[in-house]
Amino acid sequence: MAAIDEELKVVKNYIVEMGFMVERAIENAIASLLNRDNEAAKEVIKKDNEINILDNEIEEECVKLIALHSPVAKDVRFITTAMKIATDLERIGDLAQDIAERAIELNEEPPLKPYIDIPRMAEGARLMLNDSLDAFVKKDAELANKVIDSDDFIDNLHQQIFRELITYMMEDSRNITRAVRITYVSKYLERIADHTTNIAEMVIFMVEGKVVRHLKN
Amino acid sequence: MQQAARISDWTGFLMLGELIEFDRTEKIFTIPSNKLTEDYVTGRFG
Repeated sequence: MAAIDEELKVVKNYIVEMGFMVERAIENAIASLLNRDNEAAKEVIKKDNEINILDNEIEEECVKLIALHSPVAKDVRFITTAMKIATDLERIGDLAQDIAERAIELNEEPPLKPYIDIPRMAEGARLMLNDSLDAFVKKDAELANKVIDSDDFIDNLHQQIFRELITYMMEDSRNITRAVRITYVSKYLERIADHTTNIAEMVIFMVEGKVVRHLKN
Repeated sequence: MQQAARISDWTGFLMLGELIEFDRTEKIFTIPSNKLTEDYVTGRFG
């Protein structure tokens, strides 16, 4: 085994650990919204710092690898992918934190409506994240493609939620504050799905050497 | 190896007298077609 292999494994484990933390952050943020649980929301906000620290550690490890090993071919593709994944995961962590912040604000008023599509959207986005990281670990371009295809489902749900909330706002202007906050949550989940799509696109680059970003449309 | 990557436009990989792969240098060092080439440029053997 080449000397670089040990260090590549360290980076991979960091990404897996960070992915696990981010997935929990999404779940807990949504749970804090559904259960109207301020304490759980605060916990998500507090824990975001741990995700940020891992982002820094991954970057440091990758820079060290580049400087000491001058990686080429699959190694350089792996390292650049890992660095970009860490950035996307960090952004997803921030969005989970944003959801928790909106949950706390929403808890100050009575519930506007029961949540139906938000949990579906959250579960969809979380699954996309899980699959994109699985694709990274297993170097599975097919699974990464599946993640990219799932993005439309999330986008459509976001549009649906937005239209529904508009009707609430038109009915009664006192609904506006809450409806806008729920719209934010929907938008955050839509952005989370976009970041997982970025991860999947990088995995395809890593496996096949093909850049598939920005090719849609 | 780094020197070869820096100064050349084209790179060939020969092993035991056999030409394994010949392509643009950037291709050989980013996404080589042959696994033997990949294993060699990434230091997995040789």
